[in-house]
Amino acid sequence: MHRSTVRRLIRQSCGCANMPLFIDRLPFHCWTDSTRTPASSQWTIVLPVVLTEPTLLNPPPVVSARDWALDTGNRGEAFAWRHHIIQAGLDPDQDRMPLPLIVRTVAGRLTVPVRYAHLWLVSNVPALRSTPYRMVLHRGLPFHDVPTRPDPQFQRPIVGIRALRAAPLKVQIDFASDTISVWTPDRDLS
Amino acid sequence: MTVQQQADLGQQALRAFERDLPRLWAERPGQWVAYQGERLLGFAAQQHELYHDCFQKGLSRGDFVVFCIEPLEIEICIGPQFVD
Repeated sequence: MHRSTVRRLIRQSCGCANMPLFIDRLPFHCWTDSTRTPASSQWTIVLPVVLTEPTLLNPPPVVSARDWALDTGNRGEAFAWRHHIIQAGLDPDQDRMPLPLIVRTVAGRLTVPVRYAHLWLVSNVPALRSTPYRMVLHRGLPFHDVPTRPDPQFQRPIVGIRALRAAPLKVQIDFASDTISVWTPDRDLS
Repeated sequence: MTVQQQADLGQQALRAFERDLPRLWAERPGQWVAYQGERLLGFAAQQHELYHDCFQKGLSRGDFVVFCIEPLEIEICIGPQFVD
């Protein structure tokens, strides 16, 4: 079946005239925090994302997709650790923006470098999986420039509210079923 | 070009962008602009298109800097903030 036909069918099934379903009820990531006694269950809302150079004209292969945490409390576009950039095959010391960024948290302020990069959201709808959706980072990707490997649960890379708005995505977080669904603006990917 | 030369060029581009931003924001909000040092190279609607416009002019990635035409933010907040 042609991809445009598949997208039209998906649109019809969800009733979204101009917003095809792109991520369909993806389960939250459930993990155990063993630093507590007793250990406790935790949930993180994650999105499969590929991090790439900003120069790509075509979607990248999705084999390198990683789970990025969705954080609507992050008023920036995204945030990562140096390790995540290396993991994506990019050099964190290259292609930096000329202006660093101050990150404000409850623990204080931190000045971090910013690298030019794009994010690509990966679909879990089989017909769309090979055509990830570009999320442009207008202000680049600020990152914690430390050599240590971040904790895989506590220090995930983050997608913030500005990236979601700029994309612009429709997101449904369902706490009754612990799933997230995402609709993207209709774009002909055929 | 050395790393230091690239950094200097980047700082010149940033100053030029800051200087031009009020006018560009009025005329081309949301577009992308490229600078080589203080020299404005061009505009595009998409960031990746602008990179390739510059590559077609024979420039390498380290020769120029691109900016989105929108207010510069130098600070972001992660999580809740405590206000005194």
